[in-house]
Amino acid sequence: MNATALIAEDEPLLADTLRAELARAWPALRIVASVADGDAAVAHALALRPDVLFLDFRMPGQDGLQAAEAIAEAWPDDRPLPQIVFVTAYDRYAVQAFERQAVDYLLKPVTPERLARCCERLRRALAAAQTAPAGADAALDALRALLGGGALAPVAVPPHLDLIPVGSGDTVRMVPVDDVVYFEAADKYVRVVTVERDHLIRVSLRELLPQLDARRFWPVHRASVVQARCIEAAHRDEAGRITLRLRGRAERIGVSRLHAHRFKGL
Amino acid sequence: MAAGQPAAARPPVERDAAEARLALLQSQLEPHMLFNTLANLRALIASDPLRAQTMLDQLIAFLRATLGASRTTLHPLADELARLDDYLHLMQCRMGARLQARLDLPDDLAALPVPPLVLQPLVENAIKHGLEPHVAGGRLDVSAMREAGELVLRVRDTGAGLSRASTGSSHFGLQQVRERLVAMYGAAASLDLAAAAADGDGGTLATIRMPMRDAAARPHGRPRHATVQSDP
Repeated sequence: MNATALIAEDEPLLADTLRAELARAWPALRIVASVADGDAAVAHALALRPDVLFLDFRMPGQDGLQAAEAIAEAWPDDRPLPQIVFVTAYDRYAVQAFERQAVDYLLKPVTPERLARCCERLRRALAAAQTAPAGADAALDALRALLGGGALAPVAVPPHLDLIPVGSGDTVRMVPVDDVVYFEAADKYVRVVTVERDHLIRVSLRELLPQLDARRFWPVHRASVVQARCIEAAHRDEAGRITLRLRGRAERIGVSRLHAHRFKGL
Repeated sequence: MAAGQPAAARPPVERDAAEARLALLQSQLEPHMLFNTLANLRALIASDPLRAQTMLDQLIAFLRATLGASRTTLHPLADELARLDDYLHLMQCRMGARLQARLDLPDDLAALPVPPLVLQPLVENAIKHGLEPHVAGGRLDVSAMREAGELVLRVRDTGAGLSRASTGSSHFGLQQVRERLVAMYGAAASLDLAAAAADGDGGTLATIRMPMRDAAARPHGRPRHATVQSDP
């Protein structure tokens, strides 16, 4: 069966060109969708389940990395994640991260030589994924490493937060980060949840994450980061979904496929 | 040592202005914009050589204006909008129907002297943080008018809005514009960024106010090189 691919690129000329160049470099590859924004990329990837995703790194709606994360989280467990190729005109930190994590990427303008090499690697990776043992998914590992590795910012780590200033009216309350049970993304805000109450802060989870101590605060889903010592137990249901029971809070927190590896029993 | 001397000998205000211009230049030649434009050009060379030629001419004009901006202190407002027009054509080629741009310059303001590329960072900002992240794209209006003896320049987009526009690297471009205005006009000029809520289309409105009289273009009593010397 021929391999299939999705192209997500917001600039129409560049999308058409990539499609034309792919037809030359890999005639057997079937392009099943060409979309112009990150949200459409997620929807079409999940509906059509192509083998390869070419994701522009900067797109309207969700960007390439957010789209990749959303696709990975909703991808069915019994199928290997698609091979992901990020396409970028110039994103210095992202390219460094791609290099570090051996993630495929293309630089715009895309040259035929580089595209030919990329297609060759993709063919090998697809063949390898077919014969890989259950549970091993190189594409998933690479994406996880990329998400944890600061693809959007310099690797220089900002100092860890000890106190979170929460503004409400004319008062700024200082919430000790140690009191936080979990953080939850809520649109353009983050919900800061302690045992007693929760607060809203005007920052994205993505901006907040590098300022948290990664050994104490674990991302378990693209929308939630949990303080590890507050996790009481992880429960796996019949469908394989993992939920967390937390100390001091009644609600359960879902764990995505990308982060499930943390909760394998010893 | 010798290389460091002329800079050190200059008065602080002029050195600040020179550094601001250099930093502006670096922010102007944004590699992401350049490489994406080149990628589009590369595509057009094969499919539509005439359009490729037009796009290349616009890129050349844009680069020339950007590089020239560090050498001239003032140019006519009409030139400023002509450079914006080149830039917007480049962006339109890339974004297609997602970008609708309109430039509005009354004839009697066309010759007024303004600092080169004073509007450029605002327009780039509106596209990069307002329209590009917006799935549907949107409208960009640039206008000039006379208000209470001041020249008022407005850049308005109907994009994603301030919360995005006010984060990260966009601060830099705006900061540069502010610093250049201060270096040139002192407290008589201002740049404001606000949510464009009045007509319900959302997005962001950037407003520059600056003195209109030619004398105001020579702060600190020092003569300046200028491509336009007279006020009509």
